[in-house]
Amino acid sequence: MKEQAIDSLKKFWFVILVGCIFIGFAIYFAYDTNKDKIPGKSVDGKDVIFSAADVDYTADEYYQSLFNTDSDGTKSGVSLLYVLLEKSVAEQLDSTDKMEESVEETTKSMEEYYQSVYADNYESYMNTQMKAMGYDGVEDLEQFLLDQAKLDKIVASYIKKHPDLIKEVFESESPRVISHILIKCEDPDNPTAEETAKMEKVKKALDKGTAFTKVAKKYSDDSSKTSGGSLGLKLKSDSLVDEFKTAAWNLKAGEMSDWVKSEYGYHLILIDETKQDKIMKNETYASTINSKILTNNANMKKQIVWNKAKKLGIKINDKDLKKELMTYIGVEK
Amino acid sequence: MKKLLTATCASLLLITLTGCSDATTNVSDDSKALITVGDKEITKGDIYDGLISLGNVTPVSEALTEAVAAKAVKTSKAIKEEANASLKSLKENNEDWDAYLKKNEYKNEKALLTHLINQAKESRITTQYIEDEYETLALRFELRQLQIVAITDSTKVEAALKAAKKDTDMSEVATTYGDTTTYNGSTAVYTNKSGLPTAVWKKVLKTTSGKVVNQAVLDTPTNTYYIVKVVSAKTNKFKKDAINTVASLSATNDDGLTIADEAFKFYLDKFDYSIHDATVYSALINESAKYER
Repeated sequence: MKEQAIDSLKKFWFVILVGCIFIGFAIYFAYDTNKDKIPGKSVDGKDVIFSAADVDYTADEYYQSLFNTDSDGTKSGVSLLYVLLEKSVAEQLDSTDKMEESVEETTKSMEEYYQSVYADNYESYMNTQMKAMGYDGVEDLEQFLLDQAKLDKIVASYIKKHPDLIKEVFESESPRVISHILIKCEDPDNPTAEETAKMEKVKKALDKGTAFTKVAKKYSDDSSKTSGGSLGLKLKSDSLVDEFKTAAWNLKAGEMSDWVKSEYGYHLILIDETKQDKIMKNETYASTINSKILTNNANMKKQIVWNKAKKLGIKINDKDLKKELMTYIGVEK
Repeated sequence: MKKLLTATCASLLLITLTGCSDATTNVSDDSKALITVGDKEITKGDIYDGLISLGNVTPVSEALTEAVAAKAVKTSKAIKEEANASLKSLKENNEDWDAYLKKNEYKNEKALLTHLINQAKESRITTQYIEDEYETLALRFELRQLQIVAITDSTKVEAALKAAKKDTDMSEVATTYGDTTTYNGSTAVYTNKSGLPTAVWKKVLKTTSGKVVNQAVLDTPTNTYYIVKVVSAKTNKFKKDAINTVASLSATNDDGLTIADEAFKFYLDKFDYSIHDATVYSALINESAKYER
């Protein structure tokens, strides 16, 4: 037996040598590859997040802590639970072709915008944002926007059935569709001859009966010139230059101001519309009003989602968790 | 022989490859549904993974701090007294005591007291470290107990130095000749990170206990003269004051760690810290290098 082994060693010495070298390399490679890796650990079948000072802090302890009140008074576990509930509800709502088309466009413009703002950090920023909304990452942006559009639709439908909410905003905010022509001045207190001449040309054109939009496109120094001077729907609480706001809210629908001086120069302000029914017929304007209603009623969207979830059939086994979630949403039953 | 060799190599390769990924953690019963809405389920795992991936590691860092403090800092009489004083103050300021405990999620008063004791211990991690490692840190920070007078009027410097060398009380020297409130001649512990001008510090290090630095040192950028008396260079004589001085330093070391971070890291290393979730580790490292393995 011993002789046989010696014979084999003699016969295959080269193969054995190569094998030993290879094994040595493999062992070293395995060690080198894994030495900086984070190893897993479990105690009593529970995954451990960290060990230190004779303490094994488990994933279960972490999970439990998510339902304790944070320093800011919230419970992160409950907040995320609601976010996931909202997502689950949205996923089960129907979308329309129009909605999908619009979302596709929005997704593209959002991607372009965030890429220009965050450059190399775009993906990591978007991933964090998407994860906070319960999605996997940036690849779900379109799905997220579609889900939001579906939720907007049920919110809009709810608001439509509650005209008192709309009335409240129209009473407090006196919304109006506003257009303006701005002639920028280096020093509005002392306009130059060129600036004054431009203002005169504007007045002359309007006096001749040229449409406001046409004059705005030709002469206005504001970015709104591309849309004929339209600023869209504005609310009283919107951030606008004081002089502009005062003048705009002193006009009736169809009325145009005289030149209004502001820190930017001189404005001619035209009120395009103030009537509720006409404003609410425009989807974009209605969406602005709905957003204001949601801002004024912090829990409204959550409650609309909750009611929709009930219609879809909601089941929460843990009574305490159910209570926590309902408190977060602001519902009693 | 060849078969044996092939099998050995294959096993080694398998071992190499299987150990290649960083570990992550899962909560128990992660597939258990918390909520079912229509045909969708929200599970325990969804909440756990969601908050871990969002980098919500505050509970982890809090638990880690608590574990470190529990082992590094003894529950001394002073700590108990501090916790009891906090408890008393809370009771005085909250009339409906049961409502306060409930609102803050304490089972009872004892649980709150335990929390207050832990808090007091956590606040002492840095000073405990400085105490434990005092000799090393005293050398590193070149601790000195000094009395300093700063003078901007050059005509007064000579007289001030003469007075200081004659053993006149340095506070008196400061009152008579000095003109800054920061350096008023009172006794304090200084370190090489206390912000004294380099020229002054160099002279201080060359002066023995009880002596006045042999000349008034001019700091050119501020046009200020410093007259310094080295009260003591024997670091054990002013240990208590020195611990507080070092603990309040905001300077960072070569690794970018403050003394508080350094203390924390010291105990993590000492208490066999290990982390077993790559996502959590990455989020902790984003918060501070003190969590580095």
